[in-house]
Amino acid sequence: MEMAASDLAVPDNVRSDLVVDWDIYTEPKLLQDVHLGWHSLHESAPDIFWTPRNGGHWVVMRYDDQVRVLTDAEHFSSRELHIPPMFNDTVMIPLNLDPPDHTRYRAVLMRHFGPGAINRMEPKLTEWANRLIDRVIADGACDFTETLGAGFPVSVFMELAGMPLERFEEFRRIVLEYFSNITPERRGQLQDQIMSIWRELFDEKRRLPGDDLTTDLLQAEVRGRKLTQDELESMGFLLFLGGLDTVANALTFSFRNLAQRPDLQQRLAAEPEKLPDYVEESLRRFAVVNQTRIVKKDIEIKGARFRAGQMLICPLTAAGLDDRRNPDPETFDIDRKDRGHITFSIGAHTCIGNMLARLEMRVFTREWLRRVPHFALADDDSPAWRPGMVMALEHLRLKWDVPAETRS
Amino acid sequence: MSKIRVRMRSGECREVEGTEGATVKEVILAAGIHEVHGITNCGGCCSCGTCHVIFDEEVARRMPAPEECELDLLDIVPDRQAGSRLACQVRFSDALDGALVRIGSGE
Repeated sequence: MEMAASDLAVPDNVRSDLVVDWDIYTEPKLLQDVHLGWHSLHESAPDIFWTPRNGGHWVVMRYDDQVRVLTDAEHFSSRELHIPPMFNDTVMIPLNLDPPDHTRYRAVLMRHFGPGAINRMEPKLTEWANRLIDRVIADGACDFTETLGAGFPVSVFMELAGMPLERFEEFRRIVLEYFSNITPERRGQLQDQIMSIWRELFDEKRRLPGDDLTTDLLQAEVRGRKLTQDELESMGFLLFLGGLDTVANALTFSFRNLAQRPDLQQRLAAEPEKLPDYVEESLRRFAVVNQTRIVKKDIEIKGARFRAGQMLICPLTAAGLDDRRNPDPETFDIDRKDRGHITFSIGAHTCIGNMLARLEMRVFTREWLRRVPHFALADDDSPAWRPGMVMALEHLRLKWDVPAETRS
Repeated sequence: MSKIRVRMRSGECREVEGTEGATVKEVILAAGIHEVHGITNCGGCCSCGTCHVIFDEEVARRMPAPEECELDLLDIVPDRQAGSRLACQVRFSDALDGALVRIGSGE
């Protein structure tokens, strides 16, 4: 986008040596490789810098600084989470709240996303993984991103939430556009669409209760009272954004890497007990979300003078790729000692679905390798990255030898 | 130096030295006992409920009472008991010397 010089003016609290021109949506290095693109700033930019793009915002590059910012709700608030900022009046629960208000709502959702509830879902996840693999296995090729990368976790989530599965494509379209490079106005319209989907869904579950998360939210109590319609809708909004895109991207990123590593395919098939380490290393090396905050109270860190009202972003991939935390960070090593990542963020807003996401990645990788022991990138695959607040890979073309028993 | 006794999920019990002012979670982690937060971890700010520990009731009564946000999370712990607390929300002090703390089930 062409910008007038005045749009790129730097606020007077920002030291001029801390200014780097970096567009989180259109930077060519990100379009080439979202993870290594962010990582390149570890060499070329200060640990914390200001970019005048997208309304102007801070960027926090190092693991330790990100942990500090994301666990400090006194100075850094979740009230505004969009870059560029939307500044609308809608407060999304629990996404936009800071502790302690935040905690009561989080607790309601934790009942469904805690370790006990998630571990009980494993048989269902295995069944879904195989159902989706069945659809493509005889073709010997697929575009992984939508059919499996999104198909698997999104189907699981829609069933968990009690959403009608026939609306899969419509819901995916909305969430994909939401995280693309659009104006705040358009994002506001999409927000309204998502809210009205939930209004409909809650109405339907009031009439016809089901064995699902949506019905449970209608019955849940927070400190002795039911949730209000506004609370229900905004919790639904969070689930929509969290459930319909993020794991899909994590899974797709991990499969792009695995497709290029026949040695790892072989090893994981032989040593399934290494799957948890494999998943953690994938999450570290190929993070998805770039966490945003708005400065609530002035504070100075490493010469960066954060001023109330300014936005900041913590690219979580830069934490996993920080060589001060993880030596030799580009290398994918499932045996890495003392691995550190905050790919699910840290602090009050740590991803509530992190246990589900981890289990989904383990189960899907296990079932896939059991049935497709050798696979690779298709010859015509060239990565189409989507940078931004939630990063994605729009296509991932894979190919494999069709197993004998599925040939017709 | 004051000590607490930590009973792990395996039933094994270990004596752990504490630092005044650190949280009980930090004290347990510093002793190399990692099961206190499992795989998920909000970083010790009372948001995930995974560092659930159980003190003897009589010890728990002597400690400063939990704040509302801790109670919200204890509400969802399946093996909650009268002495249940989140380890990230309890400060270690000499008053805890000799106390027994059990790591929650992690369910």
